[in-house]
Amino acid sequence: MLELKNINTYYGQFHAIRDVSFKIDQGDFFLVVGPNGHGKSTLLKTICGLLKTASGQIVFNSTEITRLATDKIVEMGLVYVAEERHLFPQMTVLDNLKLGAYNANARAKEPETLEYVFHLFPSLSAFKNRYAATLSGGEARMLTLGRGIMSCAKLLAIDEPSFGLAPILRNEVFDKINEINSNGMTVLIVEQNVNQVVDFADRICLIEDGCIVFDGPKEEALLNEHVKDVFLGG
Amino acid sequence: MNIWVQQIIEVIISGIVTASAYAIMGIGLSIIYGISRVFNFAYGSFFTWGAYFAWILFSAFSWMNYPLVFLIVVPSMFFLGMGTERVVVRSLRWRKNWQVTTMMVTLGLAFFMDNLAMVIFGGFAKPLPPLFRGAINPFGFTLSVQDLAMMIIAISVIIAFGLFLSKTRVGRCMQAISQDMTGAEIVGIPIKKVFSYTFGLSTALVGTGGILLASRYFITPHGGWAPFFRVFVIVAFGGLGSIRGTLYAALILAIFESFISWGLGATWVMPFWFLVFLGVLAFRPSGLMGTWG
Amino acid sequence: MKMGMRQELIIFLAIYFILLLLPVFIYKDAYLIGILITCMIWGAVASVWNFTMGYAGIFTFGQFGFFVVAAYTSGMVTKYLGISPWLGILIGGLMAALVGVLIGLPCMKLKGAYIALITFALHLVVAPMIKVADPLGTGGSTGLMSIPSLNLGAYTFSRTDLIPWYYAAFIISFLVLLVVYKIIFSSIGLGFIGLRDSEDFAKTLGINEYKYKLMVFGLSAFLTGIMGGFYAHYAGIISPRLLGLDIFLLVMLMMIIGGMGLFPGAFLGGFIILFLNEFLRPLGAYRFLIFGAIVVVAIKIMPEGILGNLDFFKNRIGKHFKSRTAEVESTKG
Repeated sequence: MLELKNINTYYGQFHAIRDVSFKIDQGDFFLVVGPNGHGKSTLLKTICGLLKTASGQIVFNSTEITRLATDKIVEMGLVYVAEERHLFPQMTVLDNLKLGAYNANARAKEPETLEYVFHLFPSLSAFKNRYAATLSGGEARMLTLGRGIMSCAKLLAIDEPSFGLAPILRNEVFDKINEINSNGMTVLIVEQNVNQVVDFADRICLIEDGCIVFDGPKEEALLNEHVKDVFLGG
Repeated sequence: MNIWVQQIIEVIISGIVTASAYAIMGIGLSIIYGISRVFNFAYGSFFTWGAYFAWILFSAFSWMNYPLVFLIVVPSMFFLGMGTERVVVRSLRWRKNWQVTTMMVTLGLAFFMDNLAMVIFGGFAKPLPPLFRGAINPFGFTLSVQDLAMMIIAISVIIAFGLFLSKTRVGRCMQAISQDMTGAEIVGIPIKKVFSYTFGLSTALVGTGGILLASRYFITPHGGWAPFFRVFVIVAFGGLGSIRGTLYAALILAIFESFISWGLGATWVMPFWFLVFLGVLAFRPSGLMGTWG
Repeated sequence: MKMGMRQELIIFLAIYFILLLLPVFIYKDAYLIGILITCMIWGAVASVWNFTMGYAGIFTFGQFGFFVVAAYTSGMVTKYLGISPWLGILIGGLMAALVGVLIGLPCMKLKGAYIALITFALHLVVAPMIKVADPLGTGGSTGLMSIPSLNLGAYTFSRTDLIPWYYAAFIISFLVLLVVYKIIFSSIGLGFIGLRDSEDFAKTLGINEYKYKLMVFGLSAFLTGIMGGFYAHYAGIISPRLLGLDIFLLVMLMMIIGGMGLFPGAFLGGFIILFLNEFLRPLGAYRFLIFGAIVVVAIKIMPEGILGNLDFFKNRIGKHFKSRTAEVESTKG
């Protein structure tokens, strides 16, 4: 479904992503792990068009999206859920969600998707009229995820969904992500708190210093010494 | 009615009338900054050209009237703005320090436009016919129908704009971008297109303001800078990017200006604006930073 | 510690060498001498502006404000208080510096684009201020007239013989450019490179961005003011027209030319633009249209905008620094 070929991204002079290649198949729960600052977020942002690669190719559903603008990428069904959230602070939860369905595909299905999201996150339904700026960390995370789901994406790229959350909330977030994955949405997730999410993953990819150090099915990952080091360390 | 009260009411009304035009122009400047984060130094020149377009129409066709003029000029200004954004501004955005570069390029554009007007229309002030003739006398003070019309037009524009922002899809996209640009990108809003519309809308608004003010005063090639400075101070005072702030600021400052002009004389008007600007710098520089509301 | 970039120094000195000798050939042509004088004046202003924007990274549109404040200060103290014009120029420069520091105090903390906005607003405000201060002797919109000429001892510069003015402009602009040159290639210049590349790193080295910027801003105000003061005595009359958009854009074009690379670029730009201006003069009002269009086109086609200097400069300084470090290492033995 999604394929990266030899991607290189720079932050100014800094070579953040070095020659990265991997594949994600439809329905996968693809987990990207690695130490902080080693390029996990940059990778996601590059895939979703928020950052441009210097070289390499990104192919989504047989279409090359490397040079495409973000709005076109979203229209094709590849949506980013940011770690920094980027919610609309002076809009209500409901309006934020509705805007999540901005793209042409999602617009028509908005009422149903909204119901689905409220079903997944009952608490969002409860404060749908609250302004996004007033939400707590956990609630905001739910909203960010919900907004991403509203886009009827075929692949959701989620950046550190559990960041800054208490352990109970973390579990809840991972449960929900697993649920939408079970319902058919391909999920690419970047995480630091690996222990709680490892079980749900199909494939795991370890990134260090902007390079892929390991890429394979979860079972293999758990047998790999280096990968286990990272898990214990992170 | 007491002569003092009558005069004071008339001064206030005069202030409200100019506030009407400033408010419309202020909204235009505010959205350009709040949404596209760009500062258009050619704003005053578009103001002037809006008025000149109206003048051309009135001069060429004796049967011309204001509703027709607005119908023709406002959309034209909209497309002119979109065209300017596309040709002049857009490519600069992805470069380093694009905000300052945009200021510089719009300065060049302003110069070009002002001198084009000078070359085409000459330096003599041009008048526009008044919106309406006659006056009414409610409660004993005089209110010209023209002034009343200006206030009504302005209020309608402001209300229409508010509805546009909250009810239309483009409007909500604009709000989204102004609140979190990356967030807007993430949900798939076509940022470039919205920037284009914003510039167009802003130009249409300033053109409207230009026609309204010209109907009361005169048009000169370099006459856009004084209003531009006032609108700039108003928007800074109310908070760059805040619509509500701009409206309040326009009302307050225009009424003050009216009193200053009446009480101290016209030469004190510019110093007044200058002092307000200094005040904003000193006490509320965040007004220049931008908020959104 | 003196540092110098060979190439820039040579060009700089070469230009001035030519300027030094030029009058020998053209002294009969007063018109040409007059133009060259204005080239030197505005070229120096453009150079200071180019330095402030392109090297120090301070986006200011207020340079003309400084120029005019100094011009009026110098003009007024010499005219009304009988102070010597040379001293007047100095006082003008200091006054401009004072204004610069006052504006800079709140501004330098802000992000680049805001400084641009504020300084531009200031520019818009100086003209009305001058008109309002008419009762104080500024001459309002008509202008300040009969500003005393410069003098050397008993000899007062005449308005008809331009040669002394030429060499006065020569010396003053040379000094101003020398200061700019020295600063660019000194430790202060390096400090700015450090800041632009990595703010945090530079801060750990104790380089205080705010202080640096304020210093540079004040200095640029002072230097521009010196040229302003000189201009006041040269022209004899000054008016708020100096703040017009036409002059602003002409000098901005000079600065843009400077942004394309080597150090004296903006100064050279002064000559290029003003001669172009003379060349186009027969076109009357269309001249302005052309210049407006040139500004728009120039900015759009400039690869790096006016910051072209900085990267260019970074590369040169980087190489220079490496070679100097190698020198120092070798001497250490």
